[in-house]
Amino acid sequence: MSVRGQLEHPAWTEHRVLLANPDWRRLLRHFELTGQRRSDSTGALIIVLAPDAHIAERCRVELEGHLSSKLQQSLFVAGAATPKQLVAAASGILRTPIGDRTGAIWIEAVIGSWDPEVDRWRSAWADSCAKLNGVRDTMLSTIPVPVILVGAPWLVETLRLHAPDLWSVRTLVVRIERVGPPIKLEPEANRVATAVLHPARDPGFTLSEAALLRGKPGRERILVELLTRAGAGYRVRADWNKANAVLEEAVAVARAIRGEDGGRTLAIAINELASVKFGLGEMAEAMSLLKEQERLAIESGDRQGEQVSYGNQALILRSWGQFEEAMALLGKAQRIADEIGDAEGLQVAYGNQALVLQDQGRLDEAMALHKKEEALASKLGDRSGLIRTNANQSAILIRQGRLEEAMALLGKQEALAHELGDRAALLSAMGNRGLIFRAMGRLSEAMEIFQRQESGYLDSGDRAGLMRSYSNQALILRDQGKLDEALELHKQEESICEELGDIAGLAACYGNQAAVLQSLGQFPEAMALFQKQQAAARKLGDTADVARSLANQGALLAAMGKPSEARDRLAEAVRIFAEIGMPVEQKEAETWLSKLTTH
Amino acid sequence: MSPSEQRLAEIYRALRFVPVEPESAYYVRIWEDLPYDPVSRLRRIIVNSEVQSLQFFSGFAGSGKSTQLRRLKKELESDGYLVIHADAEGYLNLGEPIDITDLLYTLAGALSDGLEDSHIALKEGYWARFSNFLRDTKVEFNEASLQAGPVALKAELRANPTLRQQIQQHLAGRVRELINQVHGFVDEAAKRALDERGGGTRIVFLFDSLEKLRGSPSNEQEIMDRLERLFRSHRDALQLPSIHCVYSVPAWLPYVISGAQVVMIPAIKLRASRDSDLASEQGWRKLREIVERRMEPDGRRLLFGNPEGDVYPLADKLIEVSGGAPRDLLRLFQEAVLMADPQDPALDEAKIARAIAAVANDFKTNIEDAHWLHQVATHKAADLPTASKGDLSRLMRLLDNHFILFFRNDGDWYDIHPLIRDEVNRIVSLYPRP
Repeated sequence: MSVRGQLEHPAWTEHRVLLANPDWRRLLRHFELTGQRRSDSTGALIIVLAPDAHIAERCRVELEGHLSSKLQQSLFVAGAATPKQLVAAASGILRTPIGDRTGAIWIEAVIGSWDPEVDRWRSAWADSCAKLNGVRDTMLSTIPVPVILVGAPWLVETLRLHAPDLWSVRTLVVRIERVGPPIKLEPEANRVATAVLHPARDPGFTLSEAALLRGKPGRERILVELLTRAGAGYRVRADWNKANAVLEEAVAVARAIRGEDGGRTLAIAINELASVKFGLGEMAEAMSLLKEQERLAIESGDRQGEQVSYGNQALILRSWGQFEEAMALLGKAQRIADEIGDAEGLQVAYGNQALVLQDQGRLDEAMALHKKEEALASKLGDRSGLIRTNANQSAILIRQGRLEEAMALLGKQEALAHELGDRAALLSAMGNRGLIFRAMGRLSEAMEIFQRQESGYLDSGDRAGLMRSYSNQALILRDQGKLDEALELHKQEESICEELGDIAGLAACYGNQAAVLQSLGQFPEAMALFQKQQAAARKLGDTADVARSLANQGALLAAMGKPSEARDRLAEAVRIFAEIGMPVEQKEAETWLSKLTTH
Repeated sequence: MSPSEQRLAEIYRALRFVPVEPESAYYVRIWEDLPYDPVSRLRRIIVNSEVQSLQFFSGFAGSGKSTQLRRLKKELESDGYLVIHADAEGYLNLGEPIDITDLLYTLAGALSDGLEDSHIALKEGYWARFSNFLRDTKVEFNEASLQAGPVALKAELRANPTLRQQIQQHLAGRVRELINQVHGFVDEAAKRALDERGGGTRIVFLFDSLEKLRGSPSNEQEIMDRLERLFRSHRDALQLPSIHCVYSVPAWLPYVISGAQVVMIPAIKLRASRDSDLASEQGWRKLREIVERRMEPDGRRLLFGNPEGDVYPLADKLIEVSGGAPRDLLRLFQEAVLMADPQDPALDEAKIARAIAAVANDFKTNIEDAHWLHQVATHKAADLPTASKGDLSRLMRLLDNHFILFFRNDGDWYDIHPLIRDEVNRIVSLYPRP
């Protein structure tokens, strides 16, 4: 269970992911509890919120299948292909023909907020909701099956605003954020916005220059600048621990001389340190620093600094899963960028908003924002920006299972990266191509790419990239049954994770090594690593991974002939899975548990 | 279906929120024993007014207005009144602006329909009379429906905004004439009812759902403006002669027309008063009873285990976060049923927490509203920041969506919904106002 997921056939994966979605299960449960007896039913209003039309379509197909197979019922789909049709469907709701076998009425118009036509659709939904509001009681008392309104997440606000009476009688609100599997890709292109600062190309050298100024009165501001540049240089190399130490010092010195330039030097150092804390996973500290930076920027009238702070706060909110708040802050950053004519800031705002949407599984909307970002980058001749957006677009395509298209886009990214001499982008594109080959089962081609990528990372000194490359190669070796070689590469991956202070990377690496050791029959060693994985996941607050590790420990203990201990771990895993709503994993752990009980 | 699944299905269906009649097994005497009882207040005024009265009644979405109107009907009927209960939904297009003429002929038509349903033999129903009135006042319509008689006219008026607009325009200069015509009809009808029923039978006319007049973004403001004008300028015309009228009206009415007396239904209190953190025992008892009426003891045990005394601690967790809004209460319990495993339906803390989280998901707010909500929670008051219509609309939206709950002891007070409290505190601490 700890091994990173492989890509499957998209439709099957979507079916499986949807079935595992707690919200979707609520909807099916509603039908199970009400669907058999229509005679005493007085109808229901169900709202399904989907990020894009593709997901809505998948939901419709799944519900049709469920109604047909479990209840011998069908779904009446009211046509709403145009705004006019949507309003007509709502206006005519009381005239909808309900046959004996009709299980529900489905009115769907999912239009993302990025869509150029969204205003027309918002207005159509508002009209439709208002019309339904006016016949609410009649609808619920005369239509004996659920009316299901399917829209983008903004539909909730429309209902609250224009149809509060209708909203107040909602039976269920079902939010489906994604139907694709969570897969590990090359990390998204770096979108951390920074203040005006050039990271040192050779941070070691810059640091030695800075050392000459330590303790010299009157030279503190230059010392801070050098330390900050050195820290940024380490950050760019993903050498988080060094970057953190250097920038802590920069901020301490800058605080002492804050009055000298109105806090600008301090603000820049703080922003850099926050970015590093972000990289280290110390989110609360990063947020507190960014709040301080925001205050400094507002006090000194530094609009760009303010914009940068909002953008980075949004990234933290994103990592906390607070997507709406993140979008609100990115909206603020975008407005400031607009105001001050900062095209680059605007691009970053688009790109980061797209990433937040990606996290929410709102892939079509994310893609549209990436297209806007791409258009801006083309207009400005910003080839780095083009590379970044291409990389992120290809990640979306991979998640959507559109592997050929993703491959084509990665080709474009590689060509641009060659042109620009951007080695990091080139290597990142190679990594994603390798993952696609692996997903296609073309393991030797995938391996060849990752080996080339490894040389590139060794050459450039990008330790984080090298770690990812080892990790992916190890997984391919495992697919090929070359367990000893896989283990060797995992060890190298582990040592780099330790060096970089990458706890999330370590947790994944421990889990994967443990799985290999288990396959090799080295049970005690495997157990020790699962326990280390559990500790790392606990440190990160990743409850799902804690539970996965416990489940794996349970299975391993069972194999080791320790049923009583195995039961304890599995029961704990089941409890956690149930608590956080992961029914598929819960079921699997329960199956293991029941096997133990049977024996 | 296994027996436990069958039981879960029954409980789930019983928890649906629909207006209930006082004789229903689900009916709970929420207000009857409390110092403030909106229905008893309406009833007292009717009884004391003897011949006729006009009262407005309101509550925010999901407060139980329709159930309380049914109770009023039942009680007045037992007092010997002839009660006609009509719903605006059946007569008006609630998405279009209306003016006094629309409302007058609608009220008269609905009253006429109700009297006929109660077997009062009117000489002529109002729709026929209205049809003749239009013809007599030489209205020229393109609509064929006018030729098709009164029944078609009634249906057409609801469905056909163009026809309604034509009539509005035609009657705009004849408001006095229409008032006389409507009041004349009502006079005759009231007399007829008295004659037929004898014993001094008086008519009470309950007209529900006017508060649902809202419209769409394009005409929402117009609807509000026209309604405000209607209630401000034509209050007298709405008093139908010799009839006790109770109209359910938008909850914003008292905010825009000072002195407008509206009997409101508050939420059920979970704490004793505005200034007290003590639990309101009465409130808790009523809320528990709402659930108990829909869930037999075996059903409660099936889901919540054995009680501690009379109390099911897990069920109380759901009651506590309902804020005292009956519809939210039932929704929370429905969610809990959805979380129950068909094979082993007993709920635990984790499943209750998931049920609460599922409902709480509908209570998300933005930074601007969060700051206002925080003020409401701190001061237990919902003072408008400005007198603008925008702020009023916002307050109404927050009340209708239950972000803010309205309570009453000796005076009115407000609080925010428990399901949004953490969200508000989080936002306010994260984004403090400068």
